[in-house]
Amino acid sequence: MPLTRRAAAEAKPASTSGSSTLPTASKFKRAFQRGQEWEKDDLQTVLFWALNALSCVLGVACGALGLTGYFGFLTYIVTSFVGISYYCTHLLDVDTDEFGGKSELLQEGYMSSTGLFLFTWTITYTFVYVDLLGYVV
Amino acid sequence: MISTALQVFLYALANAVLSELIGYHFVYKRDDYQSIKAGLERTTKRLAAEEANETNRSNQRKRQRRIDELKKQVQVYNGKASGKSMRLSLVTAALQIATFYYMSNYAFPNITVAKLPFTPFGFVQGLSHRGLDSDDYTDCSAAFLFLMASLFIRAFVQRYGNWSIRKASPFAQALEQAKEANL
Repeated sequence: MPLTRRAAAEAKPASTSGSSTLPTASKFKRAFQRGQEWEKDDLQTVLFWALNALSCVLGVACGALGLTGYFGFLTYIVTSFVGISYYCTHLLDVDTDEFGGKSELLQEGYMSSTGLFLFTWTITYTFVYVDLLGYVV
Repeated sequence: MISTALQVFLYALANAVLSELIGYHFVYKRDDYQSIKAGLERTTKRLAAEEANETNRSNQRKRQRRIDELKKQVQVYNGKASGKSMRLSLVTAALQIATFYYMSNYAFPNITVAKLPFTPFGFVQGLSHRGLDSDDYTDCSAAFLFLMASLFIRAFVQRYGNWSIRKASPFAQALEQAKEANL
């Protein structure tokens, strides 16, 4: 279907800074303040980085503590879900249902955070238990 | 072992940055792509505003018609953007596959780069144990570590550059389709 004339006229080139309505520094300052008004795109960006930061910390913690197998995966799934829910409801004080729910807000973060968790878990486990302590051969 | 793993990480980083720079040079910085991106953002915002706008019953049909029209426009923009970035996707996929084969066959052949804290199941073992002779399935090949690193590095580089049109993950798209099917 061709675009309507009005839509085509509105489609002007955008700056390369992206679709975000706020500068990055301001966005991350607000990420630690309660009860702010959020644009969906900004909230998605903040939650994307929050989930990835949490996954990185969890990966390092699981690796350092020597968690293996299903126990490590279970820890990641439960802790990341609880952590992000707590961050949204208690720290940001945002009603995620207004933005289509958590699954929509975090849709871009699932894959990368899982990859980051697996990577940091593996690297930390290898570093601590193979390179440093030499337990696993 | 950790230094080899860090080398694999650097390969993944270089691969992701190179892919994104190729995309920026040949597709994302062009005016036609930028106009599609701007149009899509504008239409998506209008659609969200229209959907949030509560009207009385007499205007309901009019509002629904406007929403349908905007949804079609979003589809058209998405189609155009996919057309523009299709060749780019092929190039980046080829680059990734080439790096993958280079690493498992030439750069790190039969080298355990890390120890997995879990035993991968089924078909994943084919990747995690690719090119390794040992019987221990917690040994991790360079190819598998490269894939794990690529999963997040690509997303980070794309997020940082913010040049391309962001797409929902396949999981989110399936969720959206299920929602629409229920309605």
